[in-house]
Amino acid sequence: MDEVIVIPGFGYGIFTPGTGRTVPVTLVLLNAGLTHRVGPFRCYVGIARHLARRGVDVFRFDLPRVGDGPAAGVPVAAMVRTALDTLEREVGSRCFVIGGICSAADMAWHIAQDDPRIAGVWLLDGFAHRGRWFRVARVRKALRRPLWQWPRLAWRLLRGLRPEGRSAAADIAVIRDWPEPGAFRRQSADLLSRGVRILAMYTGGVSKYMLDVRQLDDTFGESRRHAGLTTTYWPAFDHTLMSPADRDHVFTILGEWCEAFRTPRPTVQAHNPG
Amino acid sequence: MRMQPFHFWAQERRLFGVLHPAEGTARALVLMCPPLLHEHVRSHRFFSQMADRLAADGVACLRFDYHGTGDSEGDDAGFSPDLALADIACAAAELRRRAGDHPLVLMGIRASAPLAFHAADPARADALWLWLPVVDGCAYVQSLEAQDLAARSDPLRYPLRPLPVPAERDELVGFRTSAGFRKEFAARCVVAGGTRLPVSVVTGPDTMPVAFADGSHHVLPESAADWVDELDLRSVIHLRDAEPVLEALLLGLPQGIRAVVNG
Repeated sequence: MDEVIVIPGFGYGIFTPGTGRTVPVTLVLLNAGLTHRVGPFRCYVGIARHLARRGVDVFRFDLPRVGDGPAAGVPVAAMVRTALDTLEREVGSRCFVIGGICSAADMAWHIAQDDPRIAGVWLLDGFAHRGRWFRVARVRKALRRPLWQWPRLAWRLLRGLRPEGRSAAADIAVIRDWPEPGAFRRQSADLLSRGVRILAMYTGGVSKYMLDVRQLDDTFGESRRHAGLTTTYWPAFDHTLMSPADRDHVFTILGEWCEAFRTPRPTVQAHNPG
Repeated sequence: MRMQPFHFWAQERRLFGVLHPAEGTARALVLMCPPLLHEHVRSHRFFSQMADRLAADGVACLRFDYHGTGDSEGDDAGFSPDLALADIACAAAELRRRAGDHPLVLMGIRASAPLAFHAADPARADALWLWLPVVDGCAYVQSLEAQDLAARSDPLRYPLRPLPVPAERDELVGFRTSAGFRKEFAARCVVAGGTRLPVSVVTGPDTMPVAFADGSHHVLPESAADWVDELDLRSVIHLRDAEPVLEALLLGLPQGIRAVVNG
């Protein structure tokens, strides 16, 4: 049964305790963009209740400028840190999985770098490096179009090769507060070497930067085959999981991944990035 | 924290609500009956800020989620327009219990307008505010179906999907609704002249209001009214754009209610 937990000085959140055989982590969901703590199409509520049945505690709350969260200007990192402190104190959480959709994935990534209590990161449509496979996939996608559209597509592709055309990738990186690709690979390796597990899901809704599953090789580099990293790519899904059937699928994979925290962390590296 | 979040019971249904206590002595109560489906998510912060604004003016305000919506218990398909009427009455009683027995305004937002309209008597309301109201349940269901179909075949939403996404039997704009949802909601309308209560209707600039014997009409600028056409939350609805309308509603509040209370 859901409980209200006050985050002193910041606001409040909704805690859904796991039932039955509990998993020793608390999933903390961050706001997907401007959507309040229920998530797009109420999917965070669905996640909380699905995972609770699997024994996982879940906490949802509103960051500054979102839902019932505080006004702009309140530092996000301080609020998240206080939320975790509160969960430690109020319900005895010791380890956390942090994540969410889109900007929530980006925030979770940054927070996980510095907080040793984070045992896992769940990213839905987080960072992916475009790289060569994105360009190849884009050409293949264009070639599947009717012949009469080719001249226009060729012109757009050529325009994309000019310096001003490259700014689209840079724009996304700035809007999404992404690290440089090399920094992201180093951060992945650092997290995995600390025993932090990563679940990175991608949908077709982010086709502006993700079109081919092989991009994940460039995105995660040496860590791509690490036992602590799990990735999925669903081209037929949209970015906010409008279809309930798509949401069910995400709930199942996320639930199975969270349940694996019952077994000890893989502290031995499967790969040594160095 | 000024706002007070809590759970309460509507018969056997556990609901979530947030009370915004009045600053100083309360002069009235407003129960916000939220929009449904995607519109609930789309407008959440706007109405949270509005509740703060009302509370600052001496009006205690309760926002709550129907069973099967928002943070209340129940799956999406657990929401029923008929049961929502009972949820409104229970939420009104909870607001009075927590904030005192002051004159009560039922604020029906979008699809909650016909629900608030029909729940006014059991909730013992003294006035109605209908915010961007859905007045014809049947037409609203049809518009949702059109929006749903458009979203499923939208290449911007599904850029890598050649065919539209198939819908489940009772799925509507991304939510699993109950088998009876469309029929129940289609039967709900706001009827002109159908209440003895004073009614303030707030519409966008291009909408004709429903006529009431004791009514007032307020017009929002496009910037505060155009969110109703959006499935996803991509921009903020600014409370400042609705400020003149809010001031007018607050000015009309004591007089409108006193007429009924004294009458």
